[in-house]
Amino acid sequence: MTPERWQQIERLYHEALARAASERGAFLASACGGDEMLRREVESLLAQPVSADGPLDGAAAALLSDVATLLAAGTRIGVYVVQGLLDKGGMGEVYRAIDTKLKREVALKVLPSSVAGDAGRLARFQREAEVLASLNHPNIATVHGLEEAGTIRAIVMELVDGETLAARVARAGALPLDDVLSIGRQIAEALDAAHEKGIVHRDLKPANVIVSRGGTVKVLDFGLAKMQPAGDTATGAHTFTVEATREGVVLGTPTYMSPEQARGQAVDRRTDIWAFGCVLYEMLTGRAPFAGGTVTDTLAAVLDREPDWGALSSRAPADLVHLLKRCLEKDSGQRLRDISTAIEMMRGKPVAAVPPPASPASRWIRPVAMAGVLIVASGLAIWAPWRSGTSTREAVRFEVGPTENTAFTVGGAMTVSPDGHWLAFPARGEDGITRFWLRSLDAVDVRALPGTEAGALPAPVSWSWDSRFLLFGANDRLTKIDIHGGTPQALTVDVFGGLNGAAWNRDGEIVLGRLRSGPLLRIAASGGTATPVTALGEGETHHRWPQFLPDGRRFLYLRVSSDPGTMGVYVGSLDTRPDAQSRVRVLASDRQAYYAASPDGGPGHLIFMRESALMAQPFDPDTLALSGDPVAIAEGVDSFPLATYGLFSVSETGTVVYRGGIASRLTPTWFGLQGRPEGTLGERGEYANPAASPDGARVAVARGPSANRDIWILDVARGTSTRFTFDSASDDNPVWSPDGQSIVFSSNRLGQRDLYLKPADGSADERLLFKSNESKVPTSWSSDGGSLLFTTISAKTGDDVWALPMQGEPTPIPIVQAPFQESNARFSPNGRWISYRSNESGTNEIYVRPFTPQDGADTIGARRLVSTGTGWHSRWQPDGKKLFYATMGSQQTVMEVDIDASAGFRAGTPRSLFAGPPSILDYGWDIAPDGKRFLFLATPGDGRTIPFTVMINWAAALKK
Amino acid sequence: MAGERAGHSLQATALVNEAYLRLVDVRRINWQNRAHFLAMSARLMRRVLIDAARAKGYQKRGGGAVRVTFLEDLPVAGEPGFDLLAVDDALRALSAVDERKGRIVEMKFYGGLTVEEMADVLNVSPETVMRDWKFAKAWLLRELGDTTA
Repeated sequence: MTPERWQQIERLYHEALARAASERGAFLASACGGDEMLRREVESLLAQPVSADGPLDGAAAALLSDVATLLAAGTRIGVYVVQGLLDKGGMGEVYRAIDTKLKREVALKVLPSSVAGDAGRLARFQREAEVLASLNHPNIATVHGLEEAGTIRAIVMELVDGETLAARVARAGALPLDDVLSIGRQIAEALDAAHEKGIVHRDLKPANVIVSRGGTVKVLDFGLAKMQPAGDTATGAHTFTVEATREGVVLGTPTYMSPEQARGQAVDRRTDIWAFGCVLYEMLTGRAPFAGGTVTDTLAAVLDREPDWGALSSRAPADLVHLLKRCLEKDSGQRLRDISTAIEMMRGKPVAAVPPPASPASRWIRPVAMAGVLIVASGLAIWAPWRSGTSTREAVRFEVGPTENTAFTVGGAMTVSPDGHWLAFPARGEDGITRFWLRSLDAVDVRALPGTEAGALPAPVSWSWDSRFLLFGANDRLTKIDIHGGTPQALTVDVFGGLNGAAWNRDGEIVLGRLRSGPLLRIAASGGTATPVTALGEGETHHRWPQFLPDGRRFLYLRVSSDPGTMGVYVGSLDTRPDAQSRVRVLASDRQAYYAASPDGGPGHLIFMRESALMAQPFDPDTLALSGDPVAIAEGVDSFPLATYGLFSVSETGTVVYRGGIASRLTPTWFGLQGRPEGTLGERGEYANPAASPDGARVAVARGPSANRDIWILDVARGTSTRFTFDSASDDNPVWSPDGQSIVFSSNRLGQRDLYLKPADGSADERLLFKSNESKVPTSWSSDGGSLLFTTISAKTGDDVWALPMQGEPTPIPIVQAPFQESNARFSPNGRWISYRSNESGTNEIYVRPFTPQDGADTIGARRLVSTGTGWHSRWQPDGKKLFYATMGSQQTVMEVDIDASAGFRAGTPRSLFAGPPSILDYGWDIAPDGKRFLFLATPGDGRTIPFTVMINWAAALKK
Repeated sequence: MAGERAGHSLQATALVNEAYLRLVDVRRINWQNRAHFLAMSARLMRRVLIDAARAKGYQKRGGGAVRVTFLEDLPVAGEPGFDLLAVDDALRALSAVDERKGRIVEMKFYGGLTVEEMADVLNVSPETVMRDWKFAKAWLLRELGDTTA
């Protein structure tokens, strides 16, 4: 085929298409002038369908997906009528349906079209179903038969009401021993009945076991794994567990796969016994015995590692542990062969080797109930009074406030030295200057550290391994100082924006993180150049808060990522290349975790935060394995969300320090354009995201603990507050309509954050405005009422800006959708421009672009960079001539930029207005509609009212 | 964006993640514009899909109904004769004869780029893109149809 020929064919094709169908033949005949091959070529092309919805018009990935259409309620399949969707599993959907003939409820499992459409497979499946139907056992969900309707084929099964074992463990953790035995015995009996008939389950796992309210167990999906169209029947389909994340569903890991399955060998009843052992283990400990973050890690664990038997010993009688070990024997030849042995064992009364614990290990303490118990003025306080402890050393908790002549800084964090002797914190002395202070924990000794004036910023100070030096950021440089006196020395590391954690090991190496984007760096404490020690992975923006583990070479740190599946605590090593650092997540977390060694030398704990609770969970620093269950050791602990920092610190000696209450002591406060406070609005509380109404008479604000936040409306003139939303989910991010009649907000009552709309006077309930898989946060409503800007939080493309038309079709239009984080978009007052934040340059900056939704997402050329340095949270002045935004440097400053949008767009150089109070970025702010003042959520001006709490020997409270 | 397609494949999510993982080095490059970036990711997406299919040892099958089982656990549906590997081969053949049309198919089919975006990347008018696409599609459909006789 020559290029000329090709072009000729193409030309003829288009010319023929331009003609009426009836004329094409004649046209071609003359145009090809006797060249038969040419004519046939073009005609064969013309014969192809020209529709716009053929298989090539879709996405390639769609060729892979099972195009299973969701059946609507009311659909008839044979004699069954679909009532609703029960579950979306790996092998098609399961629906609840009514048998119209027998008037009973059933479960319908719709077969994927690849099975249903293939005659051979369907026939084989039918035979299997017949055998399954013959299984008649109280602990096996009965298969009634097959049903069909059109191209749909479904398995009709007994409908079992109850909770899957997987859900139960996820909800309540490890089960009481009696339940484990009862459930285990029933599963074993189900397996026994099936094995008798030669049927192997192949995919036993907690998600396939349902426990009814009365305690009856039904095992589902027997043998169905064999129905997969996989050519390879050894590795059954379902051995890959499916995990639901906030963003959707991802393929999980083969947690329950037996070693022989992993090796691709034959599967028989012993595979079921392995899985049975896994399920037993998981019931007893709340965790699967072989769990890894990735497929490879899980398989490695299955093939080579022993489960943590230690997690069992105090809970299970010796013969149960023995049974487990026989079930989890990696060599199938050595494994328990006959499940009936297990039945016998579990029927008998358990021989309790150790008395069962007084209360289940895992419990989330409701913050409200706990608050009063914890804080005691001074002296001894026995924590957790409901635990009858027989420990010899008790946990001691007391508060540390400022001394008579000093005042804490409002945003300050306190850190404890590794040897547990000192507390370091910023404070203002009599001379009015803020610097770092030290306070001894075992002597009466409080003193300032001269030379640290430049560093006493909100970022917490770090300690050297020998508790001798402090590390902090001063003048944008990493600085060290000997606590016994001396001049501070700066190291050549730029920590502009703030130092976010530094760890200094025995070998004199320092690993540090920074507030601004980037990986962890390493530098010798004696000086030198800093080099990266980690590398940012896909979607990650920062690495922060390093802490060395006892071996002094490996360290814990936090990876900050837009993907909740990635964000969390990891272990890095000084002896590993930055791009080879482990990607195995130790703990999913939105803030740092610290390792607290056990003072008696055993494995210690990981201390981390969940919401505002401080948690401890056993952690082995050698195997890097978390075990057991997390236990809350403190409540109401504050955090700096932007810095992903929880205000707590741990020593190697069993001391934990934390600060609680800042977030719950915010007061909406007006500040003038010069930065002077002008009055408060409403009482102190836990607020976020204030939004002034267009007429300035009201302020909508989110309020309450983050898990159960509601929108409230504050009346500016009267100072009263009225509750606006009442749902028990988290309602947040209020945005007013331009006419002040409605409020849009986000709520996660359906799982992810969706957009809701409610009349501002509360005259009607909220209605769901827009729902989708990803979490969304509304940010701005145009002055003509036509569009609502919102941010989607997507693991795939990062945060993006969308616009929702508020009139007509509510189909969102992408506005800025680059593979970076774009968020916080605000309309200019005339609605023609939007300002937003993007980190495409590596740091967060404010951009402005024209708002032209009809052009689709992103005409990159049209955006203008407005901020210099960094920028967060922009707000337009009501006359559209200025843009305000906040910077996130060593201080949080409010900047203003002159805007000239009369002809084209021009932005002036940003000017600093004033340094805002700490935490204005963390909780949100707004500008009053008259453009004359700002509304911040101010932390108490008098920092003295927020003490630190020191807990000594905290682990003693965990022992029973 | 509006509403999730029920039954949307688990693999599609995993695949997009994998395609993105492979983009991690590439992202250090200063992208001139989004369209360019998407064109690259389309190419990568294609590689990811084909790699994964081949890794499973599947080969293009000729004649009769073809099912490509992509990953063992999740079944694949498709038109008879619509085989991801066959599409890839056909696309390769197309690219050999007409590079621009090959790129358009790649960007549209694997990357989901809009006509405007493709016009941007290729530096031609959107009308040209539409023309190319129409022809390329016809050609591919013919090639693929032939294999199922």
